[in-house]
Amino acid sequence: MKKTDLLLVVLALVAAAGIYLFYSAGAEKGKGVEITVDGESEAFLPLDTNDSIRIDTEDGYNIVTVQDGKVFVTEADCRDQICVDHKKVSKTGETIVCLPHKLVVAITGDEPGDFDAVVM
Amino acid sequence: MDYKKIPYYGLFAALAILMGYVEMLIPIPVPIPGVKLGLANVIIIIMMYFMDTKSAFFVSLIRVVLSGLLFAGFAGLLYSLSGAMLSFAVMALLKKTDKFSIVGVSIAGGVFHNVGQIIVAALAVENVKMAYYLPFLLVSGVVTGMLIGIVAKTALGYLKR
Repeated sequence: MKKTDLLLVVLALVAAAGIYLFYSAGAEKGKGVEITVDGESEAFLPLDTNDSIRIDTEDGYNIVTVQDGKVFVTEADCRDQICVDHKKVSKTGETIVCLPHKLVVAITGDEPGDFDAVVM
Repeated sequence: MDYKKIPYYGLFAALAILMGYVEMLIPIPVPIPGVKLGLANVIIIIMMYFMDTKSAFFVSLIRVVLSGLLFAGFAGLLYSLSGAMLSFAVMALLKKTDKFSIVGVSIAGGVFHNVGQIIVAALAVENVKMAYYLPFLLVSGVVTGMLIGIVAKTALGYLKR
């Protein structure tokens, strides 16, 4: 390992820490969860009610569940099952992605209805 | 074209595809999309140093297209192609400066492989929120890149003898 190698490692780790802090600094308890498929908004669930929704996409289905203010994917027929294994999310900015189905589950601080406030 | 190189292309391409397959058999206990070991990169890095950058590029391209079609399907092919090409470009650049060791080159490769994949993933789901995963992928790129670099370095030592 050369010194320049170490510099590279440090740079990457600093960038990672920076982006992480940027995300967690603005993070607060979310109010709702927005589910998008291929960039199109499919559903919006409030976090204060326990609920479950089945989303059918062109490539398969995902079942997204809200329980005790936390969101997780309970079931999906995708090949990697990364979304099902993903930890529960509850803070703004946190997301669960199911790449094979192009499905994104994102926590927002918005109430249902003010969709135009979602910053893209 | 140097015809003596052709058997090496075949051999290394086959090895790289095999590495990609072996990797799928190893479960990684991190539920983050895009985290991989990048075993195939061992072969690509070895080729870069054992032969030359151009040969390594062709083998990388062949590997991604073939293993993409064999194991992942077309969408998976796009992810790995973007990751592999970005990571290859950065590795070739760093190698050319001659300021980095083989491990450093490999780390950069690991990091930029993940960056490339996340860019395509964000485009695919049309959602910039994918950037949320970037810190995790950067760290995992450093760790796997380092491991892969050490393996490649060790293997090269035996090859050159």
